Amino acid sequence: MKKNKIVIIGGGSAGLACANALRQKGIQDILLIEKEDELGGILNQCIHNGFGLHLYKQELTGPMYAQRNIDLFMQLEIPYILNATVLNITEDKIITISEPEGCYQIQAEVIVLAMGARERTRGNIQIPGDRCVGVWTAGVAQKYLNIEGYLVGKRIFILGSGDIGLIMARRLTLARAKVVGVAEIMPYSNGLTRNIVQCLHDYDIPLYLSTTITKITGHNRVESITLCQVDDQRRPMLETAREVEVDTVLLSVGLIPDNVLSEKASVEIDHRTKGPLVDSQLMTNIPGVFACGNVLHIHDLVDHVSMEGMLVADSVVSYLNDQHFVQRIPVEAKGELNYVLPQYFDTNSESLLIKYRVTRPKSKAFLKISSNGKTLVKLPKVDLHPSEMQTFQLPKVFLDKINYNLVVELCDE
Amino acid sequence: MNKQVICIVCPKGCKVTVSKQDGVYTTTGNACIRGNVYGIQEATEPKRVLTTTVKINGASIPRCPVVSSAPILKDDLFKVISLLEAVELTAPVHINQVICANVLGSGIDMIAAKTMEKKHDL
Amino acid sequence: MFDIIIIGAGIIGTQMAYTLSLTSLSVLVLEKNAEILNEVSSSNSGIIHTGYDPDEHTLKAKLNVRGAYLYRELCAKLEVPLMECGSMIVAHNEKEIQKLLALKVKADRRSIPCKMLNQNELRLEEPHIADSVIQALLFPTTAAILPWQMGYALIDNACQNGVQLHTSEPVLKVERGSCFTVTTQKQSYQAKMVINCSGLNGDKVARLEDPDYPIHLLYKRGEYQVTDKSDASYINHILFPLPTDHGKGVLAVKTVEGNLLFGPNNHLVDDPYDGSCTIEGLNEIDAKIGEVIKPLPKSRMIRQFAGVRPSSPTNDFIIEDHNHWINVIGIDSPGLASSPAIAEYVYETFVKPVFNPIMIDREVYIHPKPLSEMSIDHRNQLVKKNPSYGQIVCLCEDVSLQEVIDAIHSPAQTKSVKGIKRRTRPGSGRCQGGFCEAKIVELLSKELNIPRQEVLYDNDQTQFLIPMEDLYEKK
Repeated sequence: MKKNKIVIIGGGSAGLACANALRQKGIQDILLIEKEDELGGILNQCIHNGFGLHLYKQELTGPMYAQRNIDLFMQLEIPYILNATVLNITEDKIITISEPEGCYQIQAEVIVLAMGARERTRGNIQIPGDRCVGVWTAGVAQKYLNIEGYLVGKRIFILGSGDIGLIMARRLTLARAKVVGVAEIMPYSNGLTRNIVQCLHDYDIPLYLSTTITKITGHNRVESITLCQVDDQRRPMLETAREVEVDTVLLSVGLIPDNVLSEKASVEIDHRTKGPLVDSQLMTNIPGVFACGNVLHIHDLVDHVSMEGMLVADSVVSYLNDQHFVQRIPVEAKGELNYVLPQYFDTNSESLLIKYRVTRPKSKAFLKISSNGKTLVKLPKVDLHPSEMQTFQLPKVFLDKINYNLVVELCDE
Repeated sequence: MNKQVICIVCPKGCKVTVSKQDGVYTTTGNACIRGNVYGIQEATEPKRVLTTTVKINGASIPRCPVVSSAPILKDDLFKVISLLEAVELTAPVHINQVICANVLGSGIDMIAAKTMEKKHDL
Repeated sequence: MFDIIIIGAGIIGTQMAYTLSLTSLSVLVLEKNAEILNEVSSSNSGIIHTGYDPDEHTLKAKLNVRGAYLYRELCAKLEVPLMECGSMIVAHNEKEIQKLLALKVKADRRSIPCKMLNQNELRLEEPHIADSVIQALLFPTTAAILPWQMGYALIDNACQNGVQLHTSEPVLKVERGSCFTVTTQKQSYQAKMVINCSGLNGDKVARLEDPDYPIHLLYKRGEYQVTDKSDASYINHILFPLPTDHGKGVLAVKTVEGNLLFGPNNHLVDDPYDGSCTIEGLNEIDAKIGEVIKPLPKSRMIRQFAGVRPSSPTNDFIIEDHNHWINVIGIDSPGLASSPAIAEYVYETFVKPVFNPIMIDREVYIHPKPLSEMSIDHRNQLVKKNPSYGQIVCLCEDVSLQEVIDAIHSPAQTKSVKGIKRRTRPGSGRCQGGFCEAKIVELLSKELNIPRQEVLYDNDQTQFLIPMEDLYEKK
């Protein structure tokens, strides 16, 4: 069996950033595996701009952001294979690969999970109605349009106000399709204000809050949808139902970290993030298996994905230098927090970057970090939104004070 | 003149009112100075970076992503789209290569956002 | 001139076609849809019932028992996976136990193996059975198949044996002279005998031949929930509530490929093509499945669908000869389980006496085994011969590019995205086509030599891509 020191699964932003950083730290034996016929991942189809503001201090389009990473990757001459699918990973870090050259296994010393996410589908959210053609996830429509040059419809309704949905509303309009409206089941949008303004307001596309689709109707093709307002329990109020004629429904109802492979390797998954449970080194419960990017938790900015890839590169180097992390202290989320990452803190870690998301919009709140009943940090936060991941670097002076547990809490006072 | 704009500079999303008196623009409702600058620009001469794709022959995929080298007047976006609908590229195309120069005499170019090599068929 | 025209390529039509293809008869199959097996046959529970349920002296009772027996042979011969998982009917109280015992008497009389299980026994077999269940009747020989897998195996063999299959040809007119003239929108065909296997349209097609044909089918819709196949080990048997006059109830089935199906409910609908799911219906399934198993969270569901079944008002299959026009209609449950026996019965009763054909020993066409079930070495050997076996197009279900190409070019051809999904599974997994649909469209376009905008999703008129250029301002 062929052996590789480090195998990175996925050649998107997370995998590329991790590979590049590892090579820049002098690691030679790296193999990156990509299932598509080019590197760059989902960014290749995200032709809009707005990427890279944090990392490169300029606004790039998705393909441009990808190209920067790919150019560096090529310059560093890191080995990679395209059109290669990982079929299985074992707890012992044996990786089964299928590619046009063959179907074989390799033994890795370190595996970096960077497989990204998949979109939630109609089946996941259970929209009743006919099973006619004309319902796609926004990302699929984006791929057809931006990569293949085809529209999936001419009169389109978008369910979900996540950024992909908003971006697609503008994109389809520029491609001369009619976007009839966007509905969001929550009382607030899940997209960035900038996208609400530049993708919807600019083109007079209405956004219906607290509204959902209760029925899709059509024989062979979607012919109409039924829109319904929802009450504060998100239950449709049937008296508000109205029918809207469209030929297409696009779903922008969230991403799910794609951890099918991780689960095969017995990596433990957090039911909140839907990604692996990791420690402050972003290592999973399987020693030597790390995770970064959307496979770990869903990001709203690619810059953060890249930075996570780089952080994993640091951790991998420490791991290879035989720094064993002895004690794992659980990190708990409390209050109106959707999740906190990492889920464990290693007492040997030299830094701790806390990432979290709130459960609902908060104009004012306090982030309280405590350990073993003692408050370490309490700081005021303003304008928190579920769609925006927050980060907090815990100052080094507090690291020594962590014992028993670490509680990250969002409180009102 | 009174105009309402939603500031997009930060996630806060201030509702900024832009007023003009004696040729001077003032803003209210913005929490910071960036909102002032944005508000006046948006109320007087809104501009957007345009991204789209154009047809390309001979590459591995049929569309080449393009981006404007600077923000374009919002009212001109569809005019530029029309211009680009007439463009057909042939691979290879290199990133930052000018696809359509000085669109509508604006001094702004549409440039390729991706390097697209010529496809080598077997 | 054909000897026989079969109208409809559902599971009954394909069984019929296969049966007739083993003889010297010339056969044409006319299917109104672009995709075969696309209605009743693709939206049911996929169960090979043993035959304990139908009333005595019905065709259903006779053909179900015989069909279940024939499936073993047929699946072995055509190498179609048959999952012999067994089934259990559960009881929650003393009254239901009495009903189980009555069923057992009926099953014993028909020599169908079965056994009563007490609390301990049944929980050992099914750890996730509902807490309220106190006893169960086990039928070890109940099995499950994927109906379309069987249908494709049948039609591919039939086509290889010389049967002609014409899709996208609904029958518009039937004339009876010295022979039958059957007219579609494309062409007229002559045949000495016609077998009407047209499922949901069975009575309407019967009226093309006899305008006074009295039977009007009833349409019963059943909705289903589908889980991801990672839940495959949640149950081990097919789990039923007690059957009632309204059918077999909301059950839990593990499919051959490992997904779980929960359903169906059972509601009369006016429109045979109303395959919609409703909020109320899905809630009903969620509620009722809880009487059989400990429910899974909603987030585990990857798909919902509904199937409409044609039911005869007589509550039995209608299989009858009108002077060489054979109606095979009203085939609802246990139609799938009975289907090989239905074809055998029609052949022996109506076809053989008229034609007395010669049986021909045909070579069996076996579907290629999925790569996902092969060893790494075996896969590697295939990839070395053809690199396209190494390139995976569907991650969720582990399907290679070449397997899709092979499916497109199977004897009965596959022309639609849904056809590919049924034959080789891309799009059936947790991403529901998110990663692979565009690739499948590309392959269909390339292999069938049509532009992508002409690729069908399933039926005719389901092309779904529009070239950007078509919406350009100047066009």
